[in-house]
Amino acid sequence: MRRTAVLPLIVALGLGLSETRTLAAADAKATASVQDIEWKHLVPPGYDPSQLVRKYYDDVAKLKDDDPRAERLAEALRRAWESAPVVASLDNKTVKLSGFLVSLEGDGKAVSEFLLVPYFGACIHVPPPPSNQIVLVRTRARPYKISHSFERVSVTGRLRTEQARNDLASASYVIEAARVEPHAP
Amino acid sequence: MAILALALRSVLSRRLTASLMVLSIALSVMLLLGVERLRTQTRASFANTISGTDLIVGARTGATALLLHAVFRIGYATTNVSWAAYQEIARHPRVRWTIPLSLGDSHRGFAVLGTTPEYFRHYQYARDRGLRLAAGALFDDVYDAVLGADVARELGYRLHDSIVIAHGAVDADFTQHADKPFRVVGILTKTGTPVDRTVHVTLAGLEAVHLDWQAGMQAPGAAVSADEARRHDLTPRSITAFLVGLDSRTAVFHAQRYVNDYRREPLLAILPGVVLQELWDAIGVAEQALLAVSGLVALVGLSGMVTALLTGLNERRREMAVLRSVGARPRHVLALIVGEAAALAAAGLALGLALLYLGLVAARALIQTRLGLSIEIGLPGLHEWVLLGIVLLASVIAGLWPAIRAYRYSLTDGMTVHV
Repeated sequence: MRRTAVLPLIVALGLGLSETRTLAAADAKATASVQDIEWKHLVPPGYDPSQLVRKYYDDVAKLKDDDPRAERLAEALRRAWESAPVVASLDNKTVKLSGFLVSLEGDGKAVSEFLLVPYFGACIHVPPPPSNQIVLVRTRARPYKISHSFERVSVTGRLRTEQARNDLASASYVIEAARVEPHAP
Repeated sequence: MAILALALRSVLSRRLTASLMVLSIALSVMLLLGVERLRTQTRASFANTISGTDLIVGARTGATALLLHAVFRIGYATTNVSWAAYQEIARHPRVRWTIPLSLGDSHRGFAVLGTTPEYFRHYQYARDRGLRLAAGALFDDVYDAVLGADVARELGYRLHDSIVIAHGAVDADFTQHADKPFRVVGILTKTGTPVDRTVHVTLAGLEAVHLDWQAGMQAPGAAVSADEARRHDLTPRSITAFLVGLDSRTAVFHAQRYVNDYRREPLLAILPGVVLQELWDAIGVAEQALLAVSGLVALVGLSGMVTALLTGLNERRREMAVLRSVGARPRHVLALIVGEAAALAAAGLALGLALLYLGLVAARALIQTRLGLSIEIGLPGLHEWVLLGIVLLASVIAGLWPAIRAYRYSLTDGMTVHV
């Protein structure tokens, strides 16, 4: 009786150990050429949204709130924000990037798909970050066990620039994650 | 073998205390595993109910309230979203698909959901599974209905049956839309989500049954027959909420912002994954407390066992002496007591598991009906084996204390006992 109940425990522990070992090996392989990047590296050099403002009007400061030109400007800015350009040279690079996790899909314990954003509160309180400051992370092979909302994590994996189905929008960043870990500042 | 048989006999001679020990351990183990099981299963079930949807949009309310009502049919909506607002948001360039949801009526305890065929095309659950028909077809006519698997099974409906929906969330025969029955044209396969417990009808059909309803009641003398209703404009004036799929998941914040800033009426867009996670954050403390309490109950069960063993030792000094007289060594006595503790605990674990599964089978239907959540009854997972292992290990360690005392007694007492 005693032995039969202990056995599965030992087997389970053994399985747990061997799993972490193979994962560790995979990690070692992946970290060989990992490029540590920051959020600013995701913005193409020379991209400056304020130029857009200048392109439209020289006298932005004088615009009143209800001026139709202000509304058109806001609309143009919104569009620019939603389809900010990506850095093509980062495509297919293995990178490590840290940010806040915004859960999209999961099973209640672990998330298998999430958005990585540079600052907390990217959700409601302020205008959302431009599209090149949002990275979609897929962790389907190794779902990440989340501890709380908007957790800070470091993601290591292959970065790709993915074209949206819609012509209006520019490409966006996707990381197929090899590893997600709690962020240690 | 002989020692084992002896030990078994010894336990049997104390069967009342022994079985109480087993029972107390069984109950504590059942509680421990039950809490854990319910926690993980409800989470999984909730998380599996909606997938692939980028935003849920409804009239402005609490984020959790919107999620629970639109997806899990728990609670109710305070106001609706106008059809015009829905149309405008659905035309947003980043929006790939939308599913309108109109809730509020019911059929014999099951929710009635007015929607469009888009629902069957785009609604996803359990990562990436779509809805499939077990029999029949999707809507075609105004008065067509597609039933969830449980609705059809529990009410015994077949294709082409006629059903009458009731006004309001509680079915009562005094407020039924009896003049405009719906025809069952399709039955969905089982999904393990609230979809199973939903009667799906067309938005136009829902509009038709409410055509002659004015000021919250069926207007006397203004009755519109089912066929007359077809000639009316059956475009809904409002819907309860709608699900949105975008062309890219990274566009979700911008689309959310667009909805939340919508000027013409106050709307709320939520990311289902985020709101679910916030829900877990909120109830996580309660879950931890429950787990701690059940852990303590397990501890109480074990200390009860140790108490029983310790108090039993004095009575058993003569037994030990007899064992010693036939050649048992003090270490045999030690092994006997520890083995007994472990065996009782193991029996407790087995009984606890049996009770747990009995309880799950019994509670499953109730949880399914009340919450629309499906509880899977699978084998214990790794985490549960670890919990069981911990209880067993703790019982062996706890058994050492009386065992060492028995060992000492048997050394000092030898074969003569002066009790």
